[in-house]
Amino acid sequence: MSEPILKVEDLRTYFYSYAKEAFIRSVDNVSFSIRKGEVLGIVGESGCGKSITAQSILSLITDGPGIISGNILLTHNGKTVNLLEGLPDYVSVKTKRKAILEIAKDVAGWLKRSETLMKGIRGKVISMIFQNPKSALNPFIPVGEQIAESIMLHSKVSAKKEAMDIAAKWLERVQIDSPSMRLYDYPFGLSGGMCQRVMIAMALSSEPAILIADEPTTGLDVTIQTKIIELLKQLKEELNLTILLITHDMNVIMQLADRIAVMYGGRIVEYGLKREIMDSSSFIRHPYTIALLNSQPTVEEIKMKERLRAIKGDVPDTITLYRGCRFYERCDLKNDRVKKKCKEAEPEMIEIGIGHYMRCYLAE
Amino acid sequence: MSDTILDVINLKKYFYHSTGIFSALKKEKRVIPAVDDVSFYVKEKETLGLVGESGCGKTTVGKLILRLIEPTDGKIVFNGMDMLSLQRGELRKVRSKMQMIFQDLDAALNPRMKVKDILKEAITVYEDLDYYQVNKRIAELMNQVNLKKSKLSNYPDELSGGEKRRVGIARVIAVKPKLIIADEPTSALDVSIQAQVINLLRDLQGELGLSYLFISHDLRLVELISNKVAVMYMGRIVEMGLSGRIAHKPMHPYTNVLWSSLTEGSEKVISVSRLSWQAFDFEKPVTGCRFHPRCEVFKERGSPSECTDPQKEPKLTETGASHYVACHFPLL
Repeated sequence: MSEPILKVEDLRTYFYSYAKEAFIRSVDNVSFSIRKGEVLGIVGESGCGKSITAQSILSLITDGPGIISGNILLTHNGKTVNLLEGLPDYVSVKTKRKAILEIAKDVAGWLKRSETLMKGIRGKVISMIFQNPKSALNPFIPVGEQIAESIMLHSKVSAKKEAMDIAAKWLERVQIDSPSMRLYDYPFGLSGGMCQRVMIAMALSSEPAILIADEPTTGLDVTIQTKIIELLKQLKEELNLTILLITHDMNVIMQLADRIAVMYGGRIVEYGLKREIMDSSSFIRHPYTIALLNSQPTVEEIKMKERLRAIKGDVPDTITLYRGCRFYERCDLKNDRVKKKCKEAEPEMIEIGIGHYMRCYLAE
Repeated sequence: MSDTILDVINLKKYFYHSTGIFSALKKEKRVIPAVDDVSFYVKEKETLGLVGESGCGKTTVGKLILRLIEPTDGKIVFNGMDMLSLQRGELRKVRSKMQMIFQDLDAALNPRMKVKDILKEAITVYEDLDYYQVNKRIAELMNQVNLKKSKLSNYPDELSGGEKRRVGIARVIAVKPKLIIADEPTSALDVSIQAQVINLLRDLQGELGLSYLFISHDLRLVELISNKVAVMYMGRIVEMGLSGRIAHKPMHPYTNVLWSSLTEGSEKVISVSRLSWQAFDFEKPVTGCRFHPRCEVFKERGSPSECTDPQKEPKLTETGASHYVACHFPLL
């Protein structure tokens, strides 16, 4: 197996809320790694910190004051860079308010300093496609020019005409008909699925090592969703792409991901290969993963018109400091053996199989 | 058999727009047939699912039924009344029996009103109740949609997506409707919350004897919640029948493609990968069958002339067991 290309260690992204005088712990001690040519899927309900994780990797966090800490190790061209080098050290959440603001100031300063480093990485080594393709494209510029701009920025091509030719080639790659004509279309003239493909073309035109896809299929029609997934699959094979896929749709994960991280309340609760996590015969799976899978009806259940197995309650807020497991309130599987422990202390991440980690007392 | 609560007959809505100053001078108008000759009915305590890709006219049908927009032609009979002949005052009364759940959660609730006031407004629109009765009714509604009473003093932006949706549903059932037009009630919600909302809608149907017109592009949910399903394509219904049959024994090539995007590996699947990227475009008129440019059967049969003949656009015909299909070469 190849070496990890991106390694995230103990990533924390907290935002300070003045109103509540507490931290919103959007991403809380998250660690994972992606190997070359692999698709890692991060799945979870909205508000669990999936997108913030991706934004932290690219230092796209601008809303201060907050705290970012941890290590993000990117291996590219034989060199390993820590994207979070030089950040002020993380201190406990219970730090005094004044000290917090001091740290937040440092973080804000660091974010500014890291811009130079990130400029060489954003779009060039790590590209990102966003949830809403229409709003991610500039409405006043033809799509071809937008792709060409990205090409001219990241590669040695300096002539616009040449860049446009390359852009047309990329449009063809993402299966857009008559690409040389489409270059001159404005985003409003394109359908949602087409805009998403333009985004993919733009993201890939700089031949990045990693593609971060944040909910690439939400808001699109079912037929187009399936086609986008197929396209990503195909491009992944052709270009040996590494993808960090963020979605709340288990179907997308099933079809694309090799490895899965299930997030809940800012933490990864289960992490491992897809075949192990999705293996229904396995007895040890995280209750949240099971609940997520169950909330989507199976073909049989639909036929029998059965009641859906919804997860009761709502996603927890990430401000309150819970003593026990964050999923405790909504968990259906807690039993008498572990109940007391679940309430009193948060379970640690334990390894239950090769490379399969889980945060639950049931696994013990 | 239960009675028909809503009957839609040959409903049409054409949107016109002129293309520019020169065509305006020539009195040229471009027509977009958003809803073109649509007929269906909904029975009491039943659910009709309306599916199709975005832009096919699903939402327009919903709005036409409530007369939020005026139809070009056709007939809508609700509860034995001709909706199109009603005057303003009468229409207002009828609308209390017919409500719509809108797609956009945030736009549907007034951000400056507390949940309590939102519900109170809905309750007192049609009924003159005193303070205690209103409070009693609010408590009853909150109970029906499984919302905690503590949420009453919250503003909509303090609620989560699922809670907002439930407030929306509470407001709709506050006026005691008989028919609810649910326009994409679960889009923009997480899967876990989607399941909660669907369960709630089904519970309410049992408790209150509601009928639903369930508009959605989520095929699984449509199949689950509906008794019957109508599939729309480019402003027309191309197939209609019992939900199980539509999902598992589709006859129209389009329906087949739609459902095969979900159930991979089942027999008789025309893979989506062979379906072209291009969805439909109202601006580019198609002669004959509207689906033929994307149709796999059309290609397989070597482009038969029936499919492209403008005189022979396929009509919705019954093929047995209240299954209707509009296709020259239905799949068997």
